[in-house]
Amino acid sequence: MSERETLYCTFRTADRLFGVRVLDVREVTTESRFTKIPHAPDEVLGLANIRGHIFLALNLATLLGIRDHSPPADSQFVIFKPAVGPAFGIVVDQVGDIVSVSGKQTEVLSPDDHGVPDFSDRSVFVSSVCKLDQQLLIILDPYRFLPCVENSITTILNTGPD
Amino acid sequence: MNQHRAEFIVESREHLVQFERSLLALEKTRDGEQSKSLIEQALRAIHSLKGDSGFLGFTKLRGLAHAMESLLEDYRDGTILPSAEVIEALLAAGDRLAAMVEDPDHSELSDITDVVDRLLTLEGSRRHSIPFDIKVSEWQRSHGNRSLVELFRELSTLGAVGNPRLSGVPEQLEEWTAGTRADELRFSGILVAHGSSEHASQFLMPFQSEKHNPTVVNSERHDKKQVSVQLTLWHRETGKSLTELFRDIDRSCSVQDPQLILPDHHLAGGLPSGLIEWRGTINAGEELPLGESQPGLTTRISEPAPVQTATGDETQKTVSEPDQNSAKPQTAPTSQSGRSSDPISELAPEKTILSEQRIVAEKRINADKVPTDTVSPRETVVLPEMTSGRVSVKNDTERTRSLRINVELLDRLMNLTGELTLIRNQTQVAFAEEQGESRTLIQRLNNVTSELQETVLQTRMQPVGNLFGRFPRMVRDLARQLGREVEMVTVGQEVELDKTVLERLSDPLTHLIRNSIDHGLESPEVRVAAGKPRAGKILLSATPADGQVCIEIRDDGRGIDPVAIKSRAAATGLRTEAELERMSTRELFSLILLPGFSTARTVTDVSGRGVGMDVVKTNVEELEGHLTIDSWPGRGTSMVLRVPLTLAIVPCLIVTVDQDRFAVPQRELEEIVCLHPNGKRTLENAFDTEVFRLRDVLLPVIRLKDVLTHRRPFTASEKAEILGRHTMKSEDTNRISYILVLRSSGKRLGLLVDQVEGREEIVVKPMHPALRQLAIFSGATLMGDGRVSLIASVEGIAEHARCMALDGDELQKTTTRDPHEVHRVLLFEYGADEQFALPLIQVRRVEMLDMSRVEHVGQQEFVTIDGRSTRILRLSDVLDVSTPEDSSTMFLILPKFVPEPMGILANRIIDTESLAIELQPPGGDRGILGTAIIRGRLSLFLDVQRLREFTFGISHTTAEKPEPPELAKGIRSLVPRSILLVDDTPFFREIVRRYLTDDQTAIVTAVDGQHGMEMLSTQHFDLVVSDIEMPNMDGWQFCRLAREKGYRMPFLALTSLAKADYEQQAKACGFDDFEEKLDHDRLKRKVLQWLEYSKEREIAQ
Repeated sequence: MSERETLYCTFRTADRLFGVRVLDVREVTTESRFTKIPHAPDEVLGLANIRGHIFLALNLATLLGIRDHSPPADSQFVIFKPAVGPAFGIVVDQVGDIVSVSGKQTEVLSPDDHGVPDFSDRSVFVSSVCKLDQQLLIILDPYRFLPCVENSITTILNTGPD
Repeated sequence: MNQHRAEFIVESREHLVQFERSLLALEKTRDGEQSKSLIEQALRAIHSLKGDSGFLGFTKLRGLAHAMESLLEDYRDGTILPSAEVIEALLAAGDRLAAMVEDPDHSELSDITDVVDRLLTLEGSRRHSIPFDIKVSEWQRSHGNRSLVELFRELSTLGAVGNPRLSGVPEQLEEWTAGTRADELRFSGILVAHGSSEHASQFLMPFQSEKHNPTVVNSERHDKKQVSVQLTLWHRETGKSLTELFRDIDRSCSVQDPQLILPDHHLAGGLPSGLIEWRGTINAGEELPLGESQPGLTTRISEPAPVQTATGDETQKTVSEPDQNSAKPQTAPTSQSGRSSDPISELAPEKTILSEQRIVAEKRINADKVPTDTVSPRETVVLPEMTSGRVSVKNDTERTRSLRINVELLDRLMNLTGELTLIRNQTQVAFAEEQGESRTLIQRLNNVTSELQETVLQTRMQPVGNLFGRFPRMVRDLARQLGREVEMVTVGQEVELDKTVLERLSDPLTHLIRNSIDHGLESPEVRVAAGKPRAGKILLSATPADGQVCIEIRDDGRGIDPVAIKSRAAATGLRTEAELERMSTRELFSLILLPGFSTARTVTDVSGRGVGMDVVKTNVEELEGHLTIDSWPGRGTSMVLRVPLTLAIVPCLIVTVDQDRFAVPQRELEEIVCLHPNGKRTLENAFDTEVFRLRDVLLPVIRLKDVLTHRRPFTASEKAEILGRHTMKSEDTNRISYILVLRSSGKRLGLLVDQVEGREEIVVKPMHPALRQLAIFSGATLMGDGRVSLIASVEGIAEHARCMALDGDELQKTTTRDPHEVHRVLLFEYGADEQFALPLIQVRRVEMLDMSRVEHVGQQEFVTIDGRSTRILRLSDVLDVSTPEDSSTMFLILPKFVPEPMGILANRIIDTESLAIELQPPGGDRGILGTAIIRGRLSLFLDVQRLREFTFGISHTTAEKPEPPELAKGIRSLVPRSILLVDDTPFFREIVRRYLTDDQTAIVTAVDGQHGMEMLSTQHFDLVVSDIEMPNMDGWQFCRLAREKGYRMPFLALTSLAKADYEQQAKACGFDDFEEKLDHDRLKRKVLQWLEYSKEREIAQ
């Protein structure tokens, strides 16, 4: 494990602490008015207007397979950089600090292979776990969020129940 | 470097387009001068390309361009036209260049030897052309004294003759007049052999004179000067014969080496047409006797004069003339053929052009010596054909030189403008309540934004000519490949379309044109056999049509045979026989758009695989366009593409379902039907689909809510389940809902929504890439309140709901419905709450009203309009409607057909709208005819007649009985009367019915002549009032038939048509009288008169 420090943007959803690499985050907003999209899978919360641009908002809880958790009224919208995927972000309950974690503290869970992941197991989003002093920080791989959504749509259209 | 390269690519593309265009034009022209300028154009283009690629170090590109340039260079002087082979080679080389230009970095790797070799070979053959200079006398001696014309003809069978020139013209010009044969006469030029040059040189050899090569004539000594006379022009100006000219010249100076310079080609047709120039050399001290001393010559001579003065000591005097008579003497010594003069006379206009251009050309030769302030002869000689030609050429180059802007920048500008529009919308919402200064500010913001938006949109607009320009080349190549002769005409090149639309049109158009040539047009032989001209015609036209552009590709070929389509469709199992039977011809034609459908017997390189049309269809649908096909077997096919002007900003209807808003593109919307709770008109079940009877045509209705709540396309069981739920649940009792009548790829369907919020111009943003699979949405947009709304895709929704399509015949019936049913309606507001509507046919005009001009008489208000004191009607005085806030300016609507001067006061004129009026019965207010939903708002249709009665205090009964005294005969008022009213338009029917109804009169209505006939047979009528223009059976036919069947009651024709034109026809059909539809008083009077007449006759009997 490398000694290199990595900065993570942390956030809480359903009382769990998650993080993504700061370098992947474009901005965090408090926008909470989302236009729901009929036919879109449950992971999709809707579309939001951020300064004249339309962003797709995903519900982190649903993505992670946490059932029956809808974001609170003061939820926050974490928008990713275009490199992660076109115009999208995740809605989390509460954004936390930016933490610096060294490689020593990190345990990689899923290898960074780029084959087609099996989205039925939502642990595919977890890339590693950081052992912070107080609790564990679960590092997510945001690159897999949109493929997961597309996968869900395909599933619905082809076989899925209504 | 990168940027340079990008620019290089863009510029090179333009050069190549120019190059190709010039070559194609060159191929068509047979005129030397014109071809010269075209070659210049082509050379310029290819030269610039060569320069650019050299500069950037693309050696292969440069090399190829160079080879092309040097081949073309040979034809620069215009003496010889490049052969078809040369043009073909150049075009091919251009194609190669174009391919290389697209990827200049790898152009170095491409192998261009084949193309270059081809060019070099052609160039070589040109280089090996044979200069000749033959003694005419010797040739004549060996050919039995045949005329010069024969020599020309013989030469032209061997090859093309360049720089033809007759020299050795007798120096003593008396010999001309004497008609003696000049032994010294020589004919010289360059022969470019068609086939082997050996054969040509063998032919020429015996007659070659040993003299020096006459093409080099310009080596003048300084004490000599060359003079030339444009013979035909001279003759025309002076009216003198050539003999006189030569006599004059002889008298004043001695001429050496006189020659006749002939125009370039067409030698086969006898003596060349066009300009013939006499040229000779005289001593410097001498003058030609043609100058100022010759009256009548002065003007012509003075024009080219600048050339003369400019050339200084080496003066080249140019006197220009053409005419056929002058040609005669000059050919007389050599040719006995009288017809030699004919071609000249035929080409009179060309000659003037030629002469002018020659002057220009000569000036160019001496350009180094010409002072810059010399007036160009081009500017002084006024020749309409020429000037117009020049100007357009100039414009062409100027247009291509206009500012080049990166498309990305434009796109960004477009986006920003879109955002500004949104901010504008938001501001309007936020400040809607504001008064005073901020209101005007917002209004200005509004105006400026709209204008900005329009302008930015314009920057993206490009003439379709940019696209159409590609096709002539394609057509030419295809025609060759397929052995067709095609004449292509393009119309409407200036019509503009959004860049994106234009780009996406390219593929479908290419395909359609290919199809026309391959399948549509017959081979020349077949065409001739069918009595058509050899060359097939393809018309490509663009015309703007309400917010869309119609692009038509029409050919005069064999057309499509509907029977062949039917059998083919049945054979391939695409449709069942029963389905085919039910299809309209147009629907049959649209079958060819299906994948795998092709009636072509053989698959060619070009088309016939049955893939293309499907692609066309997909492309066009992506553009939100429509394609319709019409064909007339044996006479041709017409394919009409309708595409929107722009994709970026789309007028949409905003609708809601369960509080969620959706935008529905308005171009797919035909009308909106309001569905009242407990109303008569409800949805009914037709097997597995809900339907609505829209003017007696079944319209399948989809509930948007059902579509939104079902993620997967409906299955049969789901459809049944949905239908069952709606039937079970007795409809939501107190909710109005709306049916949007939509049209999507030829189908009509109704979309049921909860509410129609209004219309908005929205900026379309594409759907998020991850959600592209959701077919029911085509994109998203930002609304005025800053929230996102989804744009519904009608096509996707219909598909999702597996909506059954309407039959083609029904569709046609509804789309070609009686035009009279569509009315233009004026929409306006009085108070803020209601929207009023008045058919324009009832409106005389609308006046701006300065409220300070209004005078008061008690409670009543008047204003003077057209010198008449006009009563102002405030709608809130007579109807239960809201009152407006006071404003200094209002509008006054002056109605038609009202005898008393009155005007209806309006606070705001909203717009006019064309629509089919479907009136809902009014809610009790007697001044209202009915209501309808227009632009998403409930609109009240005013009953002008009632309003007038209220206003002027005319009682209902007295107002409608202003009958002349002589008719008041007492009997009538006691007997109930019945009138049959026949009118197809519900709106008019309602108005007229209201006009005529009173206590004693029963009105029975019928919707058309056929219906009218049925009614006549069921009961007795005292009077029939009938419209003229109706479907099924029109008024003329109806009346004629009724008379034939012996109905004797008076018939009154009602129409909006001009009276005089139709009176005679009305009488002939059996109508007793004729009246305008909406003129209440006159109509009423007429009706009473005829009722009276009818009663009297009955009593008399």
